[in-house]
Amino acid sequence: MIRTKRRYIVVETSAKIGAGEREAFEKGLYSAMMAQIGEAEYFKANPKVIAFLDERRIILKVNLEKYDESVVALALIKQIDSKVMGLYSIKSSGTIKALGKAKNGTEAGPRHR
Amino acid sequence: MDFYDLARPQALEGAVWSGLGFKRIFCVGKEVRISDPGYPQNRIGGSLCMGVAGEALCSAARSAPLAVMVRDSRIDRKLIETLRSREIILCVSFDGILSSTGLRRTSRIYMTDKLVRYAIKKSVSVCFVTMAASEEMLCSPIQLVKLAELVGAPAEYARRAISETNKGLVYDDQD
Repeated sequence: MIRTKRRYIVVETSAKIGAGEREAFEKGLYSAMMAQIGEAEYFKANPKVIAFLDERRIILKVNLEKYDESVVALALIKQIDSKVMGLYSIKSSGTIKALGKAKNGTEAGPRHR
Repeated sequence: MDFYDLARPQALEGAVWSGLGFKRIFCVGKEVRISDPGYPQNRIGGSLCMGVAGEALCSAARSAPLAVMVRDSRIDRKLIETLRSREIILCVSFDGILSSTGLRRTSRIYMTDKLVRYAIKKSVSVCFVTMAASEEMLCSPIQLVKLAELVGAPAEYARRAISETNKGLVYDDQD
């Protein structure tokens, strides 16, 4: 069985996401990413929100194959669920453990594969 | 590697920009002076000259600006040759791409891609900035590098442009 390689991205939002808005945000993010990546290619990226770190930060999991397209898509998205917001890819890694520092807010430097 | 960006004052009003990972985001009108091809020669020198491709911008490029931005992203071979011979930076802004949608956005990406590829081929220094007018239009360094790659810059070139070339947009940077 071929193992799919993943990439975990810490994404910061310009607007706060309240606890009651998380589900709507998640759905809106997937729709917006599908619009940017394209319906035919979306399944290759397979984005998934795996954690809400706080009101402004989430961890997004994407397939490595479509990592570049996913980062560009996040940059191009300016509205989610009729709410104007910017999405910033702060840090990315192949493991969640390596995102630890950014998760704690002690480091937010760019990492490139 | 330290990264730099250029944005309008409105984008830097909140606190969002400080956590993105840039060493500094230069402010239009403060650290970077903007000029127009119609300005007198002494006001173009040392500034970022913004205009549409044509004779006016080409002649402004001979007045020693630090960088030139082609608003319509059209290729002007004479201008590119002037930039190359005088070692002037070609500044590529993503604000048009980030603020538009649909076919208009695709068309802008296409035009920017053609311009960037041609300029790099002709050995002109290209820098990439967001020129964001609001917080939402800002990008992180990772995104800026990927956007530069999207418009035809090789990965290593894009990273160097966003660190070293972007820093060169400031005339008398003390940093």
